[in-house]
Amino acid sequence: MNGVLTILRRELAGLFYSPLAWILLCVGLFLVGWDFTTTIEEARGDVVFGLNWAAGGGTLYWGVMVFLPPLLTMRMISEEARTGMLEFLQTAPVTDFAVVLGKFCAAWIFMSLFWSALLVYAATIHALGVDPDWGAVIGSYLGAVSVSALFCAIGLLCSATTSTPLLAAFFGIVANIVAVQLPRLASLPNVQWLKWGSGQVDLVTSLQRGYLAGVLDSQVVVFFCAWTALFLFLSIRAVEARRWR
Amino acid sequence: MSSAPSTGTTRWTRLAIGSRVALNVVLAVAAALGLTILAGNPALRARVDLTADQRNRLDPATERVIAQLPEKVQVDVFFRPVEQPLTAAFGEAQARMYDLLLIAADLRPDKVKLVQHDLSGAKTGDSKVEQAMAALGVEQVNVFVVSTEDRRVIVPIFGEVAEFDIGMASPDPSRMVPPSLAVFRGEEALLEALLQVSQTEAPHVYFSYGHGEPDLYGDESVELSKLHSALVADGFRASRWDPLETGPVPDDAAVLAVMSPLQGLDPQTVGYVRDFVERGGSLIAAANPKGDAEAGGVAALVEPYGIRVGEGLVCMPIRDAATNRLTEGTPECSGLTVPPDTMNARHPVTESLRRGGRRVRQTFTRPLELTRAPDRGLLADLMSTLPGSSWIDLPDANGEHDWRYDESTEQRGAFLLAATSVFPPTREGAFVPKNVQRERPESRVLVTGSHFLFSNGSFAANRDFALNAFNWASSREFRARISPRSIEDRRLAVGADDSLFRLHVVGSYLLPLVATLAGAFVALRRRRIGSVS
Repeated sequence: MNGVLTILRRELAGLFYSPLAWILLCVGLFLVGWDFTTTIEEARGDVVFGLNWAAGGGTLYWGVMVFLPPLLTMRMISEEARTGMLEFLQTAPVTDFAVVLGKFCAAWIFMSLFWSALLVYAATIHALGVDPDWGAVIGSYLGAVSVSALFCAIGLLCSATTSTPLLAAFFGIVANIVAVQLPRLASLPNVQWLKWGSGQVDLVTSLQRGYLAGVLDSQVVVFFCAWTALFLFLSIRAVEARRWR
Repeated sequence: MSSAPSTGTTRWTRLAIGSRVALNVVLAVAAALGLTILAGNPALRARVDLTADQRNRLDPATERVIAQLPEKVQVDVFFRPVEQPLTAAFGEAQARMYDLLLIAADLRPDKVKLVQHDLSGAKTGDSKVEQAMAALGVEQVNVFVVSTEDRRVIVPIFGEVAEFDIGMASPDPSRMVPPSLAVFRGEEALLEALLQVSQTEAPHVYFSYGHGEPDLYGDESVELSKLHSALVADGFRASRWDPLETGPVPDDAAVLAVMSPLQGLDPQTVGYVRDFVERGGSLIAAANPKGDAEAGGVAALVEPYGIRVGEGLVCMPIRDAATNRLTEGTPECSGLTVPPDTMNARHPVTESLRRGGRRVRQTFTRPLELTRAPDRGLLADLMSTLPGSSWIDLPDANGEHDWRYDESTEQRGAFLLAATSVFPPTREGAFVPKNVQRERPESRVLVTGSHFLFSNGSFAANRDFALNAFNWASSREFRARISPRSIEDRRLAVGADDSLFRLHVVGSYLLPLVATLAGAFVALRRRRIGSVS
């Protein structure tokens, strides 16, 4: 556990000392904030719709989700592998598990901080005299945090499989797009097993029927935990495999 | 010379490692998939609704009905946007209905299957959709169809699920009121449809006839045609029972209703009713507001079952619209609105009404009183007026009311308006009525102070109470009605003040600015530390 905390501290410091993180934060917050307020305006002040849109109902949400985590995680392992830092880490008294989990937690904390903007929007609406449904707001936030965890894990796996950060980001973005679009396979006619399979990995529907609807559903929680854990496991294996190269 | 065996070993070692990695990956994916599938098992699944109005939960009554469905039900949805100006309001009704259907399908995927047919845009003329509609007998869109192997119910959004306020058109946009969703009864519509496709034999309700009772098929406000329609829609059969024509209560009767007969029932009819009730039948009786003290009246009929019908009419002062003061002296004083707080929170008839904050309207009602329950029986009050809010207005010598509280002769307080009595059969030949699921014979009696609780005039307000009463009488408590959900409206006053501007400032500018400043601060601090070192 100490190893995880050490790596986490190091990664968080690395993230927040780099201008990239602040630029992503600033641009992302502007886009999400603009989308949120214009949606509320178009929905004639409907706060519930506006918050739902900002927290998973809208296209921009998925755009941010698809791009931001890979851009954050792209350097985490690949850059270190390229500079030889990873080799140094692997000889240090920390396990591969601690390396991957520490880096994952750093990216995840950054994303959680980013999506806490939803809570600020809700608090602003509350201050303006309309009481948002706080249960639904917290559900939406938990949803954003869960999706971020999954996409950070995917980004980390991509970062672990290549030594070029830009390539890692590219792979991560493509993988995220595939993850979001996979359920569309269900619309293929007469391929039942494909429909069933894509239904099982439908993260958009899981988010919308669970967290976004304001429901803490054990099935949805397990869904996100299981797939995040899978990609973290694969990342650990990928880091481990570097020893054999 | 030595490189050949070493290359071979490396290749096999790599293959072994590769196989192990592949196996690891396959096993990990299988584990994640397995966990996801396992978590979807209804027995292992838990859902906590975080929303303030519990909008993601079905009413417990609906959940019970879904859990008890004998076979899997398929719900086919045929929704399409409608033309302006109803587009937004109708869309809201569609979205809310679809959300409800999703919750039902999510709750018990083994009992409910949801199929959405895409009717939007270019696919309007899609032959597959048309085939599906033809197969289900759907002739118009914006309906959902609940079907089993051999039964089918088509539920239209317009009317059955939602009613709309058409708003107000105006050339001045600031004065225009857009159409809005006025009533949403989606869950009730779904529940009714589920019950209709899943029921076996319908319990038969007989209404006594021939003694001046309000007509079961009559459309006047004092008559009962709306109750009849609602009972049929809820899975009952409802008919008249004329004892002079057919003799004793028919064998297939599940419930007998005696609604405010103007004339007393003749002794033979009273005998038929008692024989039916005291062997295990159910009776719903409403007292006659004009007085039925004679031997064959409802008061005498229900007295042995522990419920006494008092004299006079329960009245409340009304608020004068002009002066806003409470006044007396008009017949309107007999129109009572029963608040949910005075309803029995544990009785199946009133529990859901109280929980849902529903009011009941009663007019020209006699007061009731609980006396002594029959042997091993149980009495229960269902609802009453608030303490001190009402009085019993007694008629004068000519039978006329003055609708004013007279301190010297009249009583003020809280008065019972509906009550039940349940007891084991007291006569030989105990039976369980046909199509009624009861573990053992049991007599059930429900009495109200007048039939106006069930009549057309106030049926819109009292529908749930009326159906609950008949469902309880026929031992179908699980079908107790649910209350419609409130329409959530959380809106910022767009255009009325600067709320949206402030939200824009915080959301679009302030948060990114804070991030920029924090980033600049970190960069400056880092540079300073760097230059110092």
